[in-house]
Amino acid sequence: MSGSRFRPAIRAFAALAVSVAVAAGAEPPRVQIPEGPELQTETPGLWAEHPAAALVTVAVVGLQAFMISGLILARIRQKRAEKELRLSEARFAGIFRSSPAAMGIVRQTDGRIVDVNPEWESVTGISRNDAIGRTPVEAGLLIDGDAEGRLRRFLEAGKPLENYEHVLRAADGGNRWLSLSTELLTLHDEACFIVVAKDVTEFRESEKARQQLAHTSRLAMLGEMTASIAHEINQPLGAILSNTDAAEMLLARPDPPLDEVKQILTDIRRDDRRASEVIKKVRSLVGLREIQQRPLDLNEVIREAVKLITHEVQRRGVTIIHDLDDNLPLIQGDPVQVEQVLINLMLNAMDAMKGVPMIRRTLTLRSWQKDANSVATSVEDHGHGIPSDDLGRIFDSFFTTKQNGMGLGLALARSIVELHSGSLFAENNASTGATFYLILPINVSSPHEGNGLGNTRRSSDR
Amino acid sequence: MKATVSEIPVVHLIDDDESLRTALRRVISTAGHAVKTYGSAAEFLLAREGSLRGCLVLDVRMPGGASGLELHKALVRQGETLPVIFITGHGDIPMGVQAIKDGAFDFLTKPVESDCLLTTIRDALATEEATCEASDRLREIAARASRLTPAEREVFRHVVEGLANKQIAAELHCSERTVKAHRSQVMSKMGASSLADLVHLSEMLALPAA
Repeated sequence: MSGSRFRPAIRAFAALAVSVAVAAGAEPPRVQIPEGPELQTETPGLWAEHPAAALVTVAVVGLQAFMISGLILARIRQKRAEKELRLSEARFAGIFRSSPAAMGIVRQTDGRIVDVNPEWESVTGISRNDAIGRTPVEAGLLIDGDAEGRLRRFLEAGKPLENYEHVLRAADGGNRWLSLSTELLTLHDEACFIVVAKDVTEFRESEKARQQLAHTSRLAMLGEMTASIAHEINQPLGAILSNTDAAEMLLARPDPPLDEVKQILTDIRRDDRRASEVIKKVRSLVGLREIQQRPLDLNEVIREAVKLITHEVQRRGVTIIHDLDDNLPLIQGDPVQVEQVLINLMLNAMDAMKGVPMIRRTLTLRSWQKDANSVATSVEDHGHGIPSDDLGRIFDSFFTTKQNGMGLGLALARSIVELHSGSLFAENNASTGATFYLILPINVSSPHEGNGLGNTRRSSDR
Repeated sequence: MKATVSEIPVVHLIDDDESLRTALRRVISTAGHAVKTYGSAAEFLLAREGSLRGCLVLDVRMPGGASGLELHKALVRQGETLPVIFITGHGDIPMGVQAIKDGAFDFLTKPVESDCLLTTIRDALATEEATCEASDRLREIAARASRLTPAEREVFRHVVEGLANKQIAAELHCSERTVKAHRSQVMSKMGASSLADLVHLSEMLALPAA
């Protein structure tokens, strides 16, 4: 580009230089081979006769040659660059065209679609011709709510998206879920968003199925605990009733002991709260919910789990031993799901100890920091242990040794743990029984702050 | 003529749930009974001193399985006659019925209505008192009977069978006057004022001890 501007000037200069050289009549000095004793004469060369002019000429020619070669090199480079750009654009176009991911390009200024690739056409069901020149709203991709406004805000913000989930309503009624990621870049001198869309419909459906399974499993577990739950609620209710009667009787006296009545009222309030807590806990377990990851105190989750099955523990005559590390760093996880896993492990442990004499029916719960990145907890029983043949299979779906078992508890537990980036495994004890180990990653952002379960902050529970 | 152990009747309440235990205690004591509470069967057994007067109110289920029932069985084995009132939860009714068959006084289902509880306690205490009195009486009669001489005992037996003095004399190979003398001794030692009394006393003696 710069070369073209200077070209006429350089041409003029070159012409001048050539004419000067011609005018100077440059001729190479001739070397004469002497034949006999003749006087050697030399035609005085150019250098001798016009040294100044010759010098100028050489300088000019040299400079001109230098500049021309510079120009030529620049031109070569430019051509190479242009070629590279074309190749790169061609490569990009090739990738764009053939990408197995659905891609589209949207101009930032007006939000119009600049191009889409064949996979995009296939995923959205909209042809390239129908897309180019239209905005996503016009093309029928964004139709919910304030689509225009949302699109405009997105374009104006100019920030890239990552895994933004968007539902595409297909003409035939079948919805497809897309995960969109965008990057802002410059194409053909224009700021554009390149949008990559992944069809995650299947993944979402399997996610939903998994959630449903977790829900069903939780309900099944709750069903087993119905008697316990009813008991946990009826105990405080019974106390409230009796306390109320006592207060009435006391107030019927000629000189009622008001202090005692006040104490009764305090106790009534406390028991009311006790009953409410149980109901809250049950509702949180019953509600169909998505995983909510937050900083958790594992010890608190363990204690809550124990509280929930207190009646079962008593009923089966089991003694629970707590060996929890007080300085446990916080983990990242969903409190209800982790609790579900723990309850499952504890119920299993108690089942295993059915035939054991009561004095040996102990369940030991431990927690400790395993290493810099993870925290561990274990549930140890003294039951019949796990047959070595089954050790590898107990976490498989539908594997059960119980008569009425579905075989889903441990499989689901393991999948929950894996979703938490943790691990769950079992070992037989050296003496009797087995121990289940649960390893969970430490919450890196805030290992020693935050609240415990954060139950009171959840407003989305039904 | 009251019990050998001079205690006022006490309602012994065993329940592992602290708030329920406190509430029930309040109801029972406000109604005027002496109450002692325990958190477990073990606690109760450890605190027990000698023979108890009163009644026992306990939850069928307590830590360690159906230890309410187990405690009852243990007490029965030991010959404890204290009336036992069970408190059962929903679904424990078959257990309650079984307990009655095993000799429990009664069972109440949760949530426990105070008037039901107090009525049952009153009945249990009344029954217990009657039983106590009856066994005291029996003891007394047996003591009296033990003071009879063998001859007097013979006369006693025959009188109760309905024999006349003359017949008894023939049976025992002694004079009618001797029979009359023995008979009046029996009457006074046994504290009977008529033949009917004597018959009644002899029936009580013939009953097996409770």
